[in-house]
Amino acid sequence: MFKLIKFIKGKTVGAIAAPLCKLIEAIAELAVPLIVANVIDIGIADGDKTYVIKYCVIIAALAVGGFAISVTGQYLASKVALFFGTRLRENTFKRINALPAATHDRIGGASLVTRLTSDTVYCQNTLNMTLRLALRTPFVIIGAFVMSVIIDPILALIFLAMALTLACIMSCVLKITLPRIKKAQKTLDETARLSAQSLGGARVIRAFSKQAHAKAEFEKAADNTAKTNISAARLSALLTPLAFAVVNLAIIATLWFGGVKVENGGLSQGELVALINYMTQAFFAIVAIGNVFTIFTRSSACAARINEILDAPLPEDGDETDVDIDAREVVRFDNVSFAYDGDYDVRGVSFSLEKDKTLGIIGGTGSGKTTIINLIERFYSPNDGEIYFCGKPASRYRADVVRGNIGYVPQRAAVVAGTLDKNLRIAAPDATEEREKRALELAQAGELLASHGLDGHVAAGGKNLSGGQRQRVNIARALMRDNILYLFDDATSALDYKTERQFINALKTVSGAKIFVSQRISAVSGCDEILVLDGGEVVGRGTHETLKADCPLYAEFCASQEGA
Amino acid sequence: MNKREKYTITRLMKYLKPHAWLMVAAFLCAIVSAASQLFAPVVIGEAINCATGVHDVDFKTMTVYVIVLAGIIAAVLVFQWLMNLCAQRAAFLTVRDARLDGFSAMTDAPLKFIDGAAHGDLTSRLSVDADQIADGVVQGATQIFTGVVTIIGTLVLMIRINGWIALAVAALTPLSLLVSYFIARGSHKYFAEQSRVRGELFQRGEEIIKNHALLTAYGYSDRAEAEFGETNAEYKTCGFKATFYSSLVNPSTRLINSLVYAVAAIMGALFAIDGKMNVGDITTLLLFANQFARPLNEITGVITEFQTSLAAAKRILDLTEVEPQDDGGKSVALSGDIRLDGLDFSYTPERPLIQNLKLDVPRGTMVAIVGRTGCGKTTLINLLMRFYDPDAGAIIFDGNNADDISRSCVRKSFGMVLQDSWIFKGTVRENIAYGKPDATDEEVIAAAKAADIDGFISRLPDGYDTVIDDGDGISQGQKQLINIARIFLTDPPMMILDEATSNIDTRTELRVQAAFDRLLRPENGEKKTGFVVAHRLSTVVNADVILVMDSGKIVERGRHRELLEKGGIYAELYNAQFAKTAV
Repeated sequence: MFKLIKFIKGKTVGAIAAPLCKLIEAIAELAVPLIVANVIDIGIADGDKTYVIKYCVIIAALAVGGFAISVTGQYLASKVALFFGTRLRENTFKRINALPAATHDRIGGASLVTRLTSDTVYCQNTLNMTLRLALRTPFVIIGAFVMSVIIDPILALIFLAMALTLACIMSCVLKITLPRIKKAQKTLDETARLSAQSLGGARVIRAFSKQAHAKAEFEKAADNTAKTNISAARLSALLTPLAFAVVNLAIIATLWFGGVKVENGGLSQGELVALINYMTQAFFAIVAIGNVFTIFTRSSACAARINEILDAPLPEDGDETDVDIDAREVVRFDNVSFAYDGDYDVRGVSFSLEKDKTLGIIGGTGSGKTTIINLIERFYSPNDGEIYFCGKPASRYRADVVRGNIGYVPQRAAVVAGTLDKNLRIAAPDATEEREKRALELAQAGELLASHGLDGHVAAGGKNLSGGQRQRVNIARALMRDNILYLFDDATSALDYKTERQFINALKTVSGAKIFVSQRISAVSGCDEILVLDGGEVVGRGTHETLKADCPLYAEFCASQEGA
Repeated sequence: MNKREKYTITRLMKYLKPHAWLMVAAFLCAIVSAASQLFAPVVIGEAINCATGVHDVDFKTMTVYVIVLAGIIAAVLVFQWLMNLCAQRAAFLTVRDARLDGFSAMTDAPLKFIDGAAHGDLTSRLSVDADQIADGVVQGATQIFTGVVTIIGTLVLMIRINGWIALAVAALTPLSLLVSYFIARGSHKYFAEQSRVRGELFQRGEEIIKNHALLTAYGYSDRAEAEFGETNAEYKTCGFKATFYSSLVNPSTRLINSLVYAVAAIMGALFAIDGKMNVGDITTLLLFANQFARPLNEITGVITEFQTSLAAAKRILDLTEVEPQDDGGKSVALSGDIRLDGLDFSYTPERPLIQNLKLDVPRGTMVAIVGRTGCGKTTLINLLMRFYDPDAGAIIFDGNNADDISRSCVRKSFGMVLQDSWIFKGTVRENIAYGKPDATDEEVIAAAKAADIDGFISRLPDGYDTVIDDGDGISQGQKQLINIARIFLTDPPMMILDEATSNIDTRTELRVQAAFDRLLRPENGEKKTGFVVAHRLSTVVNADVILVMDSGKIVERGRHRELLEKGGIYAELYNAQFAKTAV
């Protein structure tokens, strides 16, 4: 949490003023029992009504002043907290965007989203809470203690004992219950997992008539949740009654020993009342600290998760910005190897692709096809070997320069919520409408344009489009600008063969080198050169005709897909 | 409280009923502990009265009060703890019951409901929303109850000490209630706004993070940051308002409480000067004045939480009321003879899908169904498996109308392999033996071998005891093979296969086809009835009959050769696949 403090910068004054305001409010509050003691000891004892009224008006004035200053404090605290939270989110988001794909893979998209939203909000709320209570609460406790010492140093020892016992009990209860609460949370995750699983398997469960079995499994989990919660509650249910007991025991002790002092003339009745008042005040403050403590433990976990993002190293980048667009050789892989973690996903791959030529890459699931695309896009850097882009090592360029010259169609067709137009303009913000229409036409998405229009609504995740339509939008996007190189990563898997062929034919009118990655022979068979991948290695290269004769794996692919 | 909330409470009562004694016990304990807590200030005040001045301390009476106070402490300790225990136990058991009923309703619900619902939403109802019943409703109820007891008790005790001061306190305190009510109502608006913008923030962030690769490739980050920044700024404004307005509650109520305190102090002191009150009574009154407002403020807080959790409770209770799909009818052994008699079906009345579908499938026939997406292939499976009921017409099994046979009987007679085959978290063995839990190890291994997945399983770290889960390291094709192994164990008379469309390893796909063929044409020669939704036309070459479907109708039917010669839609589809592409 402390590492994140730097995001307060710019609101430092507010961040200091807010707790100070709350501190002043607390001082006003602390004065009240002392005034009441005077009212009792002087006003009532002397029967002085004006004295009583005067001091009670002072109590009221203190309340009003305390209110004004407290509201100022709350205002400042809210302002600072939201300022902090907004900046924290902004910076986290920027960092997330800049992080290499490997970090995204490691942390996971869902977790990144939670960190960006829930965790930052939690930290922001913690800061708000801290600003409000940081000075106030300890001050109330210490102040109440000091006041008691002023009244009677010996009786103040009872106060001290009470505070320590309370703190001790609270931390013990928290320490024992927190793991149980965490466990309860885990069992809750299990019920969620089971219900998601049963929904996913709704058809199979019914097909095998296993409803009763599913219910029994769920009952076990739900039972477990109830039991864990009840066991966690058993102890935490003791917290309030125990705290009540401690405070009142302290009051008993004060009454008794205070009584002795009053008898001997060391203490007045009003002072005894004040002592008891300070005890109750401190009691509520200690309870508040307990709550803050729980929030703080949780927020330190949130802060650690955010810090992991902020501290994650950025990918290395080159500084070259000049791309020789007339280079003969667009891409060259020189003995490139790469591993996501541990085992090699691509090993010793070499090939080169010349201007305006086409390369097909075919292979089974997990053969390393997409990895090659990811390496060209510089989402990852090779562990060994060198990749050349337009004659120079790709790592020497600034990554955005390389990417700016590539038309990329990802394997998972991605669309964002908004309009068709917005989705296309991701690749070229300033493109003309004619260009958009031409790109859609080339991508065989003419009917989509006709039925939706450029302003047609695209739902989040493209839920209102079919898989084939999403793929065609992705293809059209890549064709929105002129590129040196196009990467089609399994871009036609959801298209029927007829549409696929029409698309490949239409592409011939587009200049630029092209790489087609696919599991389908039909998508690569017309390429100038075809690489056959198996287990990350190139096991065959040539044209459709030569491979059919020379490469057993390629022949197997042909056989399985032609059913002959 | 509006009608809808009342209805939710009525339904919730049904779930509380079995644990009614716990709630009653909690309420009784609440009365005892609240009353005891109330007496503490009275006793403290009396004890202070024993210590008026030097050599004027009545230790004898004080001892009595100290003992009474100790008794009160003990009573509060025990009864408050018991109250918490009972209330929480009731709460968590209620949650469990609601959860079970919700899950059970979901499991018995017709597929129409499952297919039409957002799965994430149903899951969160069963997990998070159900928990809210415990947090808000049950615990809220005890808190409100304790609060009411405390307020009434305080008022009574204050009146007994001094009616005028009690009146003043009682008249002024609702002010704080009013203030916090208005603040809560005002901030509610901002809170609603805040959660809306937060949802938007979440959605924006998620979209961009999910599409990280694509957006990086097109240098979209700057634009994404600008978009996100807009929403973030909006959140800053409404978040500040929500935070600030809600933070006004505490200082405002504290202000009013302090004013009440000052008024009580003045009145008390003046009464004391006139000799109508003693110092002990003033102390007691001041303690009461301080604590009178607290439960009131707590109640306002609890009521807001109560309403939020009622909304959550409604979501899970609604789920428990989903009509189950009936499973009546006789149970008969089916042989695999099927006749579709003029089936009509549509998911939505405006868009008729299947119309007057007629088909005779004698026992042992293999039917291949081909056609474009959305032509009704999958729907036919839904009808055969009785996941959905036809709007008109009938499915006849061995001369029995399907409506007269129980759903579970029909379903058990089919072996079904879907595109997205289902694997649950458990060992491979458990997954294979899903339809026959008492299968021996030998049977499981034999089934795996027959499905040609034995080799893959033996390469897993713990072989058949490896715990697998949906989507970790197992390809779609391998999942289909595990599903086929399941069917080898149950050996039903009819089969359904929905071939995977894309992104599948074509070699594994071949193995799936081969394994499915072994299911349909077992070695003992007893051919089984099979339906294959074919995406690979190679599958259809061997079919006894090919149905070419288009918008819910069968437009062509026949064998491969016949259909090719006919030169219709089938021939066109077939040629599109085999036409050589040249770039």
